[in-house]
Amino acid sequence: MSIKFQTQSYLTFNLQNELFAINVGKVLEILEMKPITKVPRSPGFMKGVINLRGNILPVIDARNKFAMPEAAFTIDTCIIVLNIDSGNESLLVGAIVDSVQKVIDIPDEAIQVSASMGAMYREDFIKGIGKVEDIFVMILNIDRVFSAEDVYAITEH
Amino acid sequence: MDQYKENFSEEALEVIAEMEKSLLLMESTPDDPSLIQQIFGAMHTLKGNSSMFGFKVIAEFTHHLESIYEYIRSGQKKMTKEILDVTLASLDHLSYLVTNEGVLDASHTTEHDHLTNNGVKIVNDIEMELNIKNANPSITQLPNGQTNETKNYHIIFAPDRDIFYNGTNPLYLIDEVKALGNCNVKANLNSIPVLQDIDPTQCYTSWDIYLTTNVDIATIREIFVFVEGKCKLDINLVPDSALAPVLKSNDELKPEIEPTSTDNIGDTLKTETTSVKKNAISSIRVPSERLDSLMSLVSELMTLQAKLGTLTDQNPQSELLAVTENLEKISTRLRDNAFSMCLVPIKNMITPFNRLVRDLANELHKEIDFVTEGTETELDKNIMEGLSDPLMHLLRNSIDHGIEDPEERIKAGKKSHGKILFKAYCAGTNVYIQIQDDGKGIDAEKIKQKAIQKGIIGKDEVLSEKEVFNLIFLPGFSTAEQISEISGRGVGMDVVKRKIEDIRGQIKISSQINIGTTITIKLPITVSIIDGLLVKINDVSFVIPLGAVDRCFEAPTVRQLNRFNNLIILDGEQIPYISLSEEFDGIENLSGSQEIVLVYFDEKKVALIVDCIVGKFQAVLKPLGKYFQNMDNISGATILGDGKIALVLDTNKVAEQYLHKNRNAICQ
Repeated sequence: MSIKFQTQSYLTFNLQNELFAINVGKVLEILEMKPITKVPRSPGFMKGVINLRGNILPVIDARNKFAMPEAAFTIDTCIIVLNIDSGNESLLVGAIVDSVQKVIDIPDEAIQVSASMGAMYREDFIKGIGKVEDIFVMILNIDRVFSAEDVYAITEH
Repeated sequence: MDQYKENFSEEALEVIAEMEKSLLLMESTPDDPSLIQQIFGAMHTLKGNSSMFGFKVIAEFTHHLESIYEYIRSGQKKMTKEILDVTLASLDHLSYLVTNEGVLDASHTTEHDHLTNNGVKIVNDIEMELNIKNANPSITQLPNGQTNETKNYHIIFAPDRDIFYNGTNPLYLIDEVKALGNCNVKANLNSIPVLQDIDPTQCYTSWDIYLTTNVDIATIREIFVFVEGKCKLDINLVPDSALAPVLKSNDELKPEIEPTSTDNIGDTLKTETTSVKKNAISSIRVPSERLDSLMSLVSELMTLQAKLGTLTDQNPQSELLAVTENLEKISTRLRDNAFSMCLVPIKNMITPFNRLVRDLANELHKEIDFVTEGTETELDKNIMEGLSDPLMHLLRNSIDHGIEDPEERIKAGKKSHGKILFKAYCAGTNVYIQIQDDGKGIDAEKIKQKAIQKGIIGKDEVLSEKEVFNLIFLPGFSTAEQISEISGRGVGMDVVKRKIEDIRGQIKISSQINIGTTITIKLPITVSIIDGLLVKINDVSFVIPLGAVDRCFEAPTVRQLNRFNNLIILDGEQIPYISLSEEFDGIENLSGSQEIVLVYFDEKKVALIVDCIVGKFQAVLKPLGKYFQNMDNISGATILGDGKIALVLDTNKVAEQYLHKNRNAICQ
């Protein structure tokens, strides 16, 4: 993205009853679940590709990224189309999440850098923890979570 | 005005490139009159345009060149190597002038003066030659067609309405007539329509010219040679006494317009027409992002169109059917057009290579034939841009290190002329470019020694020939004998490799001592249409590139399948088979009928078993993107008419992986 989107608005979504948040500047759109074309012999979390208005969009299961068990798709299951910075280029990727909640404002002051969460999830995946109306949300460092290099490293084996 | 300047420089650069191409062709066929005419015409355009935009330096510089070619065109001078060299050097300088809007810095001023002097010298030499040739000194003093007698001419010059489309400025022609002698010009403005009917791209003016000069009719006609057939031209000799009354009667008939004011009208017309007169140039430039967005829009349109088709099938109304059918026709054509726009034939990038070979061969005193093959192969424009530098470097290497000196070649029992073959061809979903020389080749042993010396490989390491040649691509690797002024100053082979990899290509070297070196570059066609066979495997669509397909077979009976070593007997031949459903999903479709697609794999054939063959399909190959970078067996995806995705198989990789897997299984 040429213009750096700096905003304090976040989109929240659920994965296995946990609440996560992504800066809205990274979110392009939210799609309903649609048939995904599986790419043979690709790693399990690479769900496949979908047709995003004539473009090929890779789709990743977000649960898999956080070592959660796979779950059947429900009517709430969504694909969030994200814009990922990868080195000097930006990539589009779809992330499958259990359900999308809402857009909330989290001021920077209200975000704590997480220390203890490292045990549960990969530390570099979490940017911080925000508290909104007594509920904790984990703010994701989305460029890391869906970095193409990671996928790359896994496919190597 | 800046915009016009931009137009000018863009056009001028194209003209210069055209000229360069013609000149290089001329080297082999120096007497081809159409080439000379082309060069002369191009120079004339360049001169005219640059003086029109106020680039006096460029105009003057071109003028000298034009004078040389004027003599060649009229057959008074033969094309020589010297002229060719000077012209080529001048063209380089001209492109510099054009890009820098005619401003010269210190180093280029010297270059400029040097080239100008060379040009003037050639013109003078030619004139001297002509003077010596001609026995009659009184006539030789005068340029061609000139006599001592003064005559009066009445010239009626009525250009066709669409003369501007041709890129001609009639006023320049009149200026040229003026230069011949004493001249009185009258513009005839009678046919100019009322203001609202004026089309600024049309020429409504005609001219009456009274000329007193000592040249003959042919010389005057020659001025109008570029507009021949595009104007009404009447040149009449009039006696001295008749001139005055004619002039007078004309004055009475037509409002007299001063030549200066005619110029003004002409100029206004001219500026307005510059953007229209592009038809001399057969192509326009479009930023590639616009093409990319056009492509994705067209794909969307196709998807929508397919949806409409489905809907129409559900509600078959005759009117709706007709509309859908027409829309389908048009959108298919639109798609084909849009696709072809993004591809550029490789020959568009060849001219600088020709030039490089020529110049470098001269400089190094080598004799080299540069042969190109398959240059009509099309490649995505973006790929081509990334390819130019590495190819330049590879060619430079071939010329400098590959091809030997003529004496050395003769000693080695070869022809003194070296040959570099530039070959491009399409295979499957890839384009291959080969640079082949018949030079001295690369000594694998020398490379190996060097690598050991540098500690890149161990002393006892056994390397295959391929591995040895790959050492060349390592950063910092160059054998001492290889460094020279020409290749040393550029990028190294490691950079070449990196650049090729940037555009997702692969590079390979093979070489034999004394026979030559072949460098093969394999490139993907990112945006490209491939003809493929649409097949279904476990209800998922796949496309097998038709280029790889040999034949298709009906479902075989179980008897023919040899399950033990996965061989199938087709037409009496034993062929290994791969069940794709098993290969991709781990389950085998035993219930339904199956079909066999026989594909080439290296020199052999492999049978792929699919669930069913849907039919032929023209697929737009789209890359799967970085997330699937390592999925070799899939070369891309394509979107089907109904909006679903089909994956395009790389059959070579599928077979390779399969064999690899089997071999591993046996080893365990």
